[in-house]
Amino acid sequence: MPALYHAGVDPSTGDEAGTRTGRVLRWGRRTFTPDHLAVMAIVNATPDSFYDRGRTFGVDAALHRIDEVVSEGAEIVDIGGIKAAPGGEVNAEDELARVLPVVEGARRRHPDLVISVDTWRSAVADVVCRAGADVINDAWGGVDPDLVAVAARHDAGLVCTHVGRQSPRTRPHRVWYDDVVAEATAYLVGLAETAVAAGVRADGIVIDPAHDFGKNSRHSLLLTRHTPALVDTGWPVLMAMSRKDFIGEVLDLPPDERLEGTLSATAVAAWLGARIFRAHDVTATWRVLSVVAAIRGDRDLAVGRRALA
Amino acid sequence: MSCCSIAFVPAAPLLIPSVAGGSADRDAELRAAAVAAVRTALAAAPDRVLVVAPTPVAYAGDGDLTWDFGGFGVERRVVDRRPRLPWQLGVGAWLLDECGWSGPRSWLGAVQGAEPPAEFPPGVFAVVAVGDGSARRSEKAPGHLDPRAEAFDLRIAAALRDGDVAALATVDAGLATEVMCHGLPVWQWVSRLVDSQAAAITAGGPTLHVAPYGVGYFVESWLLD
Repeated sequence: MPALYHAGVDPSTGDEAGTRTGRVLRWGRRTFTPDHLAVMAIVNATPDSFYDRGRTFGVDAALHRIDEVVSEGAEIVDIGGIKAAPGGEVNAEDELARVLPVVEGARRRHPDLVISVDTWRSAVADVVCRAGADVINDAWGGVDPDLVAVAARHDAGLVCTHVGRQSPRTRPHRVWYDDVVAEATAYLVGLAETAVAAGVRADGIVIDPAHDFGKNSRHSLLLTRHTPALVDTGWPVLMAMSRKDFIGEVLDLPPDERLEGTLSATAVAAWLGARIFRAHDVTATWRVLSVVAAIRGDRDLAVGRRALA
Repeated sequence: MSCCSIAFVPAAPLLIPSVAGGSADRDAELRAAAVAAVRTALAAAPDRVLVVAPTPVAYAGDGDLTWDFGGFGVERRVVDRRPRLPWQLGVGAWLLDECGWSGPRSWLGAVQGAEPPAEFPPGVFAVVAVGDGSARRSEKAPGHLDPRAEAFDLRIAAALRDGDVAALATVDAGLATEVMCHGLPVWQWVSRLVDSQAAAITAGGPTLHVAPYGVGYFVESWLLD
């Protein structure tokens, strides 16, 4: 599926579209300009993640899923070997056994695909980067201080996340923020600056407020509402909202009925300046982002025939 | 000084309807029980109410202080320049408002491992003791399942039902931390208070122990003579 972003001219203003401010992001062989909205497809190399519950567990199933999401428009895949919720211990060795063959297979089959690995462990990050991973998604927010050095050494990209005071695989409990937007924004800028100081490429860093992680649903909604505060930091913003509890609690619906809610949040956050969307539902997300991009003038019509023949 | 009555109530933020939002009605029974326990304590005609709750740092205060649940992302009430109570004490304040208590209020935040002062308010006072049991009662609990959590909570429930201050005083604090029980410093403070008065305890109810979301909630009231 093409991801063509047309830098047209808005005839009403003469403004050139496709000239949004913000950093150019370079991940793997791809360059993401500020006007570019991208899908990061979730590929769980886990038997127990909350939504797909093992549907893509096993190397063959995961690689099949990767082929599928690439054909659906995902430019990035995020491969994870440990479910976020508490559960059975998965040590670094187990995690690598799950993730590494998937990274290797994906690299072989899709040279241009951006491969991200969701891990908090520097030892795991080091091995997968050697196998061709382009990005480390530090989804537990800087737990392992050596992770940034690994990203720097491999010239890899980095996702910086805000999880408050949570340790990996713990659930938030009565979390209180005097100002969740200010706190998350400052924390994310601090993480990004620490990464740069450790030698990570500045044009490989994005920030993610980490909906639901260390937050209740109102905190996640506040962060979504205040997306511009994150965008204004200058760091590209990634949103990982797919089928999460904050959507479920707005609607009182279980994960398998949270698609429309997720897509609404996606459209709003994209309109407000977020650039990368971590998603289970790739086709649907890609379509939403394409329409958002077309409305703001960053994407041309795929067909320009109506009333024009 | 003398304490005339004690109400034991949960600390759960979802007890407050504005925090619970659309699901507030689903916990109406728990909320009603907590309100009823506070009413029972107030019926003993205290001059003052002391709210004690577990707080991250020690806290002591007097008077008509303000409170809100803004840190949970709930819209803040009108700007109020009075000092703001820690939210755990705010739960007690909300219950007192629900019961229409307009008399003097005192506040104590108890910290695990740090002895709260053994000073009690002047006159005849009631206590609202805010605190919960284990947050590891089920797979979906905030702290995930700890197989020791249920037995831990049942022991607390029995002590509250039976007015057994000795049992509260001897709960293993290390185990309490491991099963994510935040209420213990409050109950241990209560047991010292009752001991210091050598009072006889009559349980006034309502008696409730439930853990619908993996966190142990207790409701009880004690009348002291």
